[in-house]
This record gives sequence, structure tokens and C-alpha cells, in this order.
Amino acid sequence: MERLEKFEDWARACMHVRCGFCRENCPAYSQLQLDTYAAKGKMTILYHLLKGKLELDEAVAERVFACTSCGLCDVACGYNQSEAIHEMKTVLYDQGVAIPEGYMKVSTKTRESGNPYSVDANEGARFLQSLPESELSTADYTLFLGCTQIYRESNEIGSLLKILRAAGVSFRIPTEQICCGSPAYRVGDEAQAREQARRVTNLFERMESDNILVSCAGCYRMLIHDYEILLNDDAKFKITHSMEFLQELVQDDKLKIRPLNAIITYHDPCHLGRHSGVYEAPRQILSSILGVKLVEMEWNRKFAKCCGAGGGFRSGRGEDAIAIAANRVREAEATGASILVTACPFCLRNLRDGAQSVNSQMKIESVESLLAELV
Amino acid sequence: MLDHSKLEKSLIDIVGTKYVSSELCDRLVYSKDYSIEGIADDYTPDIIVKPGTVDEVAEVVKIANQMNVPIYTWGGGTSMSGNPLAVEHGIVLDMKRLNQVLDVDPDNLTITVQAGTIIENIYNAALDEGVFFAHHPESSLSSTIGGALSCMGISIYGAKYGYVYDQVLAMEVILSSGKKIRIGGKSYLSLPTHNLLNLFLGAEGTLGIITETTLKVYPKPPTRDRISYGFPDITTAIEACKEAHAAGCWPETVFLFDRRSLVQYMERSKTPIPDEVSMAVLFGASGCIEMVETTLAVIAKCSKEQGGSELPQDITQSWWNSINIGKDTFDQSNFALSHTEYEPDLVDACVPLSRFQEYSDFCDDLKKEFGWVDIDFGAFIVGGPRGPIPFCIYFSVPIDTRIKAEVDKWFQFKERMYRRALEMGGSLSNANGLGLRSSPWVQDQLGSAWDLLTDLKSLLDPKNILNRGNRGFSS
Repeated sequence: MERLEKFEDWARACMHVRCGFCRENCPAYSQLQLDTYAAKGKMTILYHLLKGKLELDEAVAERVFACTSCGLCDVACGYNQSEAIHEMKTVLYDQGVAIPEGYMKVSTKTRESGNPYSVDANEGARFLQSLPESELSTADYTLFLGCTQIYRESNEIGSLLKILRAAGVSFRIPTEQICCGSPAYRVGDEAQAREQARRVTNLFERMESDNILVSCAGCYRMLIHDYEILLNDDAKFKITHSMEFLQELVQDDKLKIRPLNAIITYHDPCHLGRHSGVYEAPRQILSSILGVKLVEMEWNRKFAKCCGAGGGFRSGRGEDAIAIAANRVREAEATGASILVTACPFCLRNLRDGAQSVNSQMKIESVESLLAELV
Repeated sequence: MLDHSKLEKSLIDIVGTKYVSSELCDRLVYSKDYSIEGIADDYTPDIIVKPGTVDEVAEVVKIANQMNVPIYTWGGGTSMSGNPLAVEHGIVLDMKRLNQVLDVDPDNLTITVQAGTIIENIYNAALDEGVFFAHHPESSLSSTIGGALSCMGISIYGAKYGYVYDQVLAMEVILSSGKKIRIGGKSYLSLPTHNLLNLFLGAEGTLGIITETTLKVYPKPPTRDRISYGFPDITTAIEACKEAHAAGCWPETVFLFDRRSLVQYMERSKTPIPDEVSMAVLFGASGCIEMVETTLAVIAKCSKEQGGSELPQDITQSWWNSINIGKDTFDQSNFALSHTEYEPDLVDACVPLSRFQEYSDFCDDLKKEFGWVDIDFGAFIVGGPRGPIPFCIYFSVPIDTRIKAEVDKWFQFKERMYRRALEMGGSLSNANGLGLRSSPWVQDQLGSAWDLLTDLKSLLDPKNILNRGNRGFSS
């Protein structure tokens, strides 16, 4: 509970003001409907936990874990409420409170198999070793691939590799598959997240890699922000997201891109946008494609609504996560676009499922897959 | 003795499991609004229910009536007066699932919405059809129209368009029996007899539960702009407002903040306030460019004649941004920031216009008497339905609610302020609701009219289930 005391000021401010600006845009509240599920409700819980009026129990865990960690509440509030909510998850986990099964599985699977999908890590390693760049001993960049890309969206990897190869980028790929720890971290399993951070850091050190290229938004946020906290250490590597990297390639004319006549809209992944500040690079890439008309959704950039997949929400509340994604797809449809593009494998999967659930004709693509088709 | 499990089962039968909770962690979320009252006592409801249709609301009310359980209607929970708080525990009725914009009618300049609709959504639905909905409080991103109608909410556009109650053409109300009534219609003056709307407007859910309303919308002004002026004191600022009115100006925004209030509002933008400013006025005008420019030019002239000096443009813009919180600006709000050390609560009173300065001076002296010498918040004055002439003054005092003695002092201070307002020929204001905050003095002010009000309450709500124990009514 001591870990929560640092947020007492924020919780008290929220209890005082009760403005609720965090509520209407909160993906969890939009599905679950009681005010408790918005950040305002969770800060109320925090306030009363510190006052001793509430205890860490199953009901509290059910409310607190119902958070996609999207951070739109932070924009509304001025205080980083999502940070406090994350800390509450960690405390609930550490105290051994029975947290909802779907979230717990993310942790259990990561602990047991090294990835949140419970796939044999050797399978991931075999996949990586099948890529020719894994045989290189030196290169300008090391491309770190995430679990969702390897085990669920391997086509996306193919797209990225095609682009990097076409541009003549010097990169290599690790032969081991190690989860960055983000899924476990977001469901409160800080110990396992720290262990994953150590393993990944050791991997980079063994490979003597300084320049790391990441194309998963969740991995990127973890590597660029959370490792410093988890390892209590300054950043050791230069981390670049593929959006910024590809934008430079496009800007420097390193890619020959065929025209595409299409209206496209872009969904900002929370990990990449609000949490890491990467808003313009993907838009610049898309706008550079001849014939593409890039249109914005009503909620974009720092105000972008969440796809519903983050924070373990998709594992914990699959149907709700997909319903949230369906709302985002509807928002995309309202722009007149025929392609909804994003830059996160998690968003990609959830938005596709959301589109399917409402029989939307919207094509859902990643920036990489769209670009790869045109290179 | 209330049979909680029977009540819960009955409510679940009406709305479904998902929309009923008796978990403590949920009930606590619905136990506090933006008032010190909410922290000074325990207003935790026994159960939360969130119906999705008007019929479900009616059924919930019938159950409450049958079981003699008090029912507290809850919108955005942003009230500043404690009016949605479950004084006698019982049921909190969350109205936010009744959130549909039912009809936008630009030809007849009306919009019809359910009571739980978020005000910002009404504003945007109107704009989508090319018309302008004028009720826009600072809380419009999260507060509901039902809450605003029940609390007499004020608008940043109120100087031109009036209070929220000025926008109402019709309402649907559920009475304590569960019976549904409709008052008014789509055309203006759809009230052939007594204005029954006024029984329920500003009544904070004590006489009935508003479920739907038809509101006025207006042709959308093509442009709007604003200026702000600093004045040596309240009197000169009000004189400037009166002169602007005499000159024929009809601004839409007239907000007056004293220096301390303005400093608070600039906290997020970190904009410094010139040293010489004691009282500042934000004037906003809308219309065609010529009208806006002329209005602001005349206001500037009137302000200068009263010793006013124009404030820098960035202050004007920051000030406007901090009160005009909408879909694209909700990162500009000052609501939460600056509230870690204290909770500001309001004294919400009207005094005769000529005595605003005197009342403000009294407040400053009283703060000193109470030992609050370095307190940041001061006076707010708002221009209301009579154009640029201010109508209502508020005083906000930040209290460290962690210290019980400070909370006790606040209640003593508040009593002195309200009593002084009544002595000056003033009134408790209903502009942010009366609720628990201002109701202790309502009987004194109403005198014999209080009996009429309690008779009406008994007639409309014989079992006293609606907002029991609030607004001065008995427990």
C-alpha cells in the first residue's frame, strides 16, 4: 500500500473536483457503464484504499484491472491517472488478490513460457533463425520483434523486412525470441516484467547492439520508457520506432513507392502516440504515397480513442475490447476512408476483430503492410 | 427496516445485473460531488441503479415508492452544492444511459434530448445541423442536461442567451408515483396555464425526475471574438458593464474574476497577470464580423472610460480556453490541477448590484477574521440573462479538508456570508444549485412561502422519496 501513497495528492484532488472529464472518453467506462470504471472511479477507490475505507479485494481488482492503459484520462486531467491505475494493478498483483482470470493468464503464460501466448519459445527462435538477417554478426541496426508479431502477425514481419531490404538497410535479427515484458507489466506483474527487461537487455549486450529498431508499439514504449524504471538504470541503447525510421527512408528517397488511389485514415496506437509522442511520422509516410488522401478521424493524435486492446483488456474482457474496437472502426468509416491504418500489431488485431464484429467493409492495415505492397 | 436484498433483486429485474451495484467500491464513487459537504459527512448510497429507458426510470421510482426508499438522481456528479448526494442513503439513480439526442430541428430551432445526455454532445449535435446550443458550462464535457436543468446551471454564453432554464421549451418528468407527464411543446409559449416547468427546473430532483427535454437552439453566429480588461475594483468593472449595456452592446460572455481567481485559472497556462489588475472582465461577442468588432470596440471604449486597461491577448485566450472546455480543448481545463492542497467551495449568493463591492470587501474582512489571509481564491461574477450587467457573485475559499477544524471553520464562515447577503437585501443563489450547501438558510429567506413549498413537496412526493433530506426538506 505504501507504493500508492505517492498518489494521495492526485486522489484527493480528484475527490475534491469530481469533474469527470476522464469519463466519457474512457473505453472501459463506455462498455462497463458504472462511473467506477472511469479513472475518476478508480481514483476514488485509491483515495478510500489509502483512507482504509476500502480493502484490496476481488471487487476492487475487477474495477481497477478494467483499464486499457490508454492514457486519455491523463490528457483530460492534467495528472497521469493511468500511472496511478497501473500502480494499483501492481499492488493488487503483489498482494496476491484474486485478479480476474483473463488478466492473470497474461502473467502466468509469460512466466511459464516466456511469452503471453504460451507458445513454445523454441518455435519463436526457429522462426527468427529462418530469417537470413539472424545470421549476420554485425549490422547498423538490430531489429527487435515482439511476441504478437512473431506468434500472431508474422505477415507483418514479412512486410517490414521487405521494406527494409528494399531500402538497403543494414540490420540483423536476434536468434532468440524474448518477450519485452510489456503484457506482464500492464497486468501488474512487475517482477516478471523486470525479468524480461533484464533478458532483453542482456540479449542486446551480448549482441553488442546499440541501435535498436522496434516496430511493435508496445515493445517500443517498454524499451524507451519502462526499462529505465524497471531496471533503475539510464537508457543503454538508442531505440528507434519503425515509423520514424521508415519516415526517414521515405524522406531520403530510399524507397520507390507506387501510387495508390485511396482515402486512408490513421489510428494512433496509445503506446506510440500518447505514451511516446510519435504522431507525425506515420502520417508523413502515408501522405507521401502518391494518390493517397489522408483524412483524420474525429478523435486523433493526443485525443485519439483507444482500440480497446491495451492493458490486458483484450485478454481480460475480450468481447468488450472488440466492441470498443468496433466503435473506433465506425469512427473511421465516418471519415469516408476505405482503409484504416495503424502502427501497432495489437491495435491491428483488435481493430480487425472489431470490424468483423460489425460486418464493416473497412480494410484494416498496418503502415508496414500497406507500404510493402507498394514498394 | 430496508430489505436490501429484496431491493437489489427488484432493481435487477428492471434493468439487469450489469446496471445495479451494491458493492462498496461503486457506492463510494457516487458519494461525493464538488462540494465540501460531500466530504464532511457520509453520503454513501445503499445501491446504484442505471436504467436505460424512461420506462425503466418509472419502474425504479415505483419500487422506491413501494419500499419507501429515498432516491437520489445522479447525472455527471459535477454538482457544486451537494444536491445529488444520498443524504439518507437509499438509491442513487444514474441517468447517463438516457443519453440520446432524439431530434434536431433547425427549421424550428429546437433540439430534443434525453436527460442523461452529456451537454457537449448536445452542443455538437446541434452544430452538426448548423445550429447553436447556448448552454455551455465549464463542465459540459461531463455534466448532463438533466443535472443542469435541475441545478440552474450557468453558461459561458449566458450574457446573451441566458440561463439553462431560458432554453427550455418542454420537459418530460417522472413523478414520485412513477407517473410520466409532459409539460410544454416544440413551439414557444406552449404553456397555456401556469408555467409548470418551473416546478421542476432548478428543483434538484425534489419534485420529479426530468427524463427528456426540448430545448431552444439558435442560428449559429458566424464568428466570435473576445477581449479582457483589468479594473481597479469591482465597482468600476460593473460601471463599464452598465455603460456597455447602455451603448447597446449584447456580448455573449461576461465573466468577472478578481485577481486571485484569475491567477488560479491561469495555472495551467502559466500566464502572468499584470500587477495593477484587481478585477478583470472577459467579454465575448458573437455575430457577423462587423457586429463583433463594433461590440468589442464599444466595450473597450466603455472599459477605458472607467479606468480599465486591456489585458494581453494571451491572457484573454488562456482565460477563454480555461472556461471553454470542449471536445478539442479538454486538455486545457484547470479543474484538477491546483486542487491537491485544498478544496475550493463556493458561497453562492446574490446581493443588489450596487453592493457587490461592499459584499466582496466583507468577504475579505471575514477571511482575515478567520485567519485565512493568504488564501488564493476570490470572487467570481457572472453576466447573466440581462446582457452585460452582472447578476451573481460567488466567493470561493480553498479549504484544506484534511484538517477538520478548517472544515468546521468553513461552515461557520459560510453561515456568516449567507446571513450577511440576506441582511443586505440579497439572496441565496440557485445558480449552481442550492443542495446541501445553501439550503440551511432557505426557510429564513422564504418565510411564509416555505409552507407553500413544503405543501407542494408533500403533494407531489407524499412519501418524500425524491432527494430526501436535501434542499432544506425534511429527512
